[in-house]
Amino acid sequence: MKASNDFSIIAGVNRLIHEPARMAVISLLSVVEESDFTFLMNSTGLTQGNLSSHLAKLEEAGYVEIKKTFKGKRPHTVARLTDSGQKELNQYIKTIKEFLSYF
Amino acid sequence: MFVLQTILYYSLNIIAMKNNITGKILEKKTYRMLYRDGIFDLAFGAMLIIYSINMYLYINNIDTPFIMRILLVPVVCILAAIKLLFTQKRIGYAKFRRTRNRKRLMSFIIATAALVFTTIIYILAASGKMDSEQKDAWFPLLIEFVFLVSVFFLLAYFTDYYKFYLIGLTMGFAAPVSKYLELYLDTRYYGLALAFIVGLYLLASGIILLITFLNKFPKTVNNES
Repeated sequence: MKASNDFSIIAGVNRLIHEPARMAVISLLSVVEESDFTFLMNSTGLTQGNLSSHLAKLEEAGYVEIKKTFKGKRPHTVARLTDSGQKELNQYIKTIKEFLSYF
Repeated sequence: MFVLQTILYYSLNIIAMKNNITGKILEKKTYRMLYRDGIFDLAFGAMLIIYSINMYLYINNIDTPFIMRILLVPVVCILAAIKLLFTQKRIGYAKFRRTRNRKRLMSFIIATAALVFTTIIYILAASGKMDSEQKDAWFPLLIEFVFLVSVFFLLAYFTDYYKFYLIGLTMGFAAPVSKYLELYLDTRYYGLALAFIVGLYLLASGIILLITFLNKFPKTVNNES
């Protein structure tokens, strides 16, 4: 039945991206080529620990690629969105947009 | 949590209005974070104030000290150093996409072309090859107004630094319009006053932004995880 399909659209949304903090991170990474940890933290307002945890989950899913280097003695983490991450984000936005159009 | 999610959904709706998901608005907002330290405001505020002081001295036939003529250069250098050594490190680094690099290139081309053109006009006027004191020369003043406003409006578009709109209008009214009105009303100082006031506003805005920025984005701790 169509009605249950409409609701299953939103029920089946990508929960990894759906989480607000991860949504903020992945949205930011979608509009830049790459970003370091500090910029991500300042832009999203997340704490260090929180951001690290979310980045780890996104990296595990293959949506984000993380490079860890050193600038002098300081660790420097740079993140970028993968093609898979961009594809999932686009699909997520399309799903939400479609569902919102029902209101 | 639900309220946050609702805000996120509506934000996404606005962002994803077009069929093509480009994130243009989000990219602009992200890029504009680079202006949060107020350095641009300080630089252009200083520019307007120095301009108005120099013009005041010129109108009153007071010899402009050499330092005043070049003051903007060290001011800009100091502000650039503050940006590179302090504020940029605090906000972090992001490499923007090619579309942003194209916009940066366009703004650089526009600024350079405008500077070269202005320098040529200045040299021509200073060498007497161009009469800069024509009484009925409203047409050159109109061209000057259009030129100034266009340059700054284009820069505003390409840099997404919206205060360029205000600066463009200020320069347009402070110089050519003021000079035109001078023919009919004794308004020699009105244009300068406008430039000075807007310059003060930008300086104040820059200082407030810088203080807020330094409080909001403290020096980053070494241990990124």
